[in-house]
Amino acid sequence: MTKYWEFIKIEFQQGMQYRGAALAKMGFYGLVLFIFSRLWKVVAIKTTLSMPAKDMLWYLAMTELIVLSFPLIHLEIEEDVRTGNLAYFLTKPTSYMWSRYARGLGSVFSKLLFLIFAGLFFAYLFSGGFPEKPLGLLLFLPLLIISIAVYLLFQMSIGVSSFWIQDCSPVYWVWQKMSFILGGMILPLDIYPSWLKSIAMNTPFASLLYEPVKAALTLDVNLAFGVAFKLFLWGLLAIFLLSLIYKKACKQLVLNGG
Amino acid sequence: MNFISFLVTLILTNIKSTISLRASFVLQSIFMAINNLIFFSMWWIFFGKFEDINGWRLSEIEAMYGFAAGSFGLAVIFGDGVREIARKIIDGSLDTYLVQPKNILIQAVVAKSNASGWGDLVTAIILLALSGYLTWKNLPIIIILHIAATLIFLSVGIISQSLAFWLGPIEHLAREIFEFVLTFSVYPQTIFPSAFKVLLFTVIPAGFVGYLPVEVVKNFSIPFLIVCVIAAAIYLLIAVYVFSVGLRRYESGNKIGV
Repeated sequence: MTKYWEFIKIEFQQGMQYRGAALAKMGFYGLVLFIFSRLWKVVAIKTTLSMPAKDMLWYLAMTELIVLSFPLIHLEIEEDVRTGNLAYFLTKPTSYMWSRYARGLGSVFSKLLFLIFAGLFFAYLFSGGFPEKPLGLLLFLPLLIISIAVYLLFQMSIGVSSFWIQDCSPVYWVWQKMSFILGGMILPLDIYPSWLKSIAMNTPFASLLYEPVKAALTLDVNLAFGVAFKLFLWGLLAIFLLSLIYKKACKQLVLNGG
Repeated sequence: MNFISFLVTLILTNIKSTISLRASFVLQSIFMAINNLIFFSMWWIFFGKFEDINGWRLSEIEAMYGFAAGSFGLAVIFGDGVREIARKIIDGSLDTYLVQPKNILIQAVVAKSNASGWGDLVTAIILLALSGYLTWKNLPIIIILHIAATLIFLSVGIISQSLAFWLGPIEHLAREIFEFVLTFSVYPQTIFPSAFKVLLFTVIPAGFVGYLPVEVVKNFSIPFLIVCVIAAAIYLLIAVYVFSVGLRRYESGNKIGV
């Protein structure tokens, strides 16, 4: 376990070196929040929203925070597969998958340091204050970490698929956009037609994005525990899926002679 | 004439090389189109709930997204090398072009073609058709607007990437500026205050990519069409000038194999 903790620390320290990339991400984050602050202001004049316009922006700030903090871990796995580097990792006394996962978490934490600050600043600036229930922001922190931890597992499964499809980016694009739509990244699922909302609620995406933020904004502790439990179950499924794909991939690696 | 045939040959060679990796080409194109349409479904959901955004309805948004996707697609099909200019400035890879008896900027820009751009083009056709603005009468105008917007994307890319001549390793920043233009071009500019709109027609010329083209086809406005064409020419001239001035500061990378 200690060795994986070291992986997290190394990747965290490395992530802290890329300040330019972090600033660029913060800029993009601010830009998106600015655009939607304008959009919700315009729309709120004519229509009653499912939550106050201010909270609509905080909703987006939180879902964006989850999405923006992901490292491109699938591309790193793809690179290992393509270059054959994976074979060298297999001889090391650590599991390739768990070491990659630990490094992914380290990278996430380094990004979060910048992004949490940026999110608070921009959301406050563009919405004109804190959400209706500001304590919810504290409730959001643990849910954010659990959600990211589970999302990374799914993302890694996509990375391992590059054993068969060479370039896994297209699969990731679709997965990412599915999470935007079925996870309600931009529009809360309450706005969706009921049939689409019920589909979305039965996918991992809603638990990864919509539900943690909803629990935080409504300061609903029971919902928060429910979401954490659902995420735990989705996490188990993701680990099962990842191990299954990885095992099959490793067999192929042996067949190809590494 | 020699120059044009050189340019056409270079572009065709790059496109052929992209298409030669057939599986990857098909996967990237199809998945990019799916990716775009899934993302766009956010607007279908949005307009199921809200009527308009300061006068802009679904058809205008479809056309705007179509123009942005189409011109971005053309930019990366014909000139994806533009997104690598900053890196080449930093690591001295421009040497390869300096020793050729042809225009350096052109070579750097058309050095790469991106298969996903074809998926963007498919998206553009679908969304423009859905918007109802893709008619035989509008077709020549739509083509001209696409060419103008493509040149604007490429010009912004050249200007932002050329900043590396003065500022050093700014690949992230340069890419982010490019993304800024794309991001602003897919949201209706009717939501922004007038003072901010000035920025969208100057510093971040997203207004010429999405908003103004829609106004042209909506009102069949020839003056606005001329404005788009002139704007593209001006941005292109600025881009060529910035690159030429910056090139004087370029330091060779002494790369082996030039």
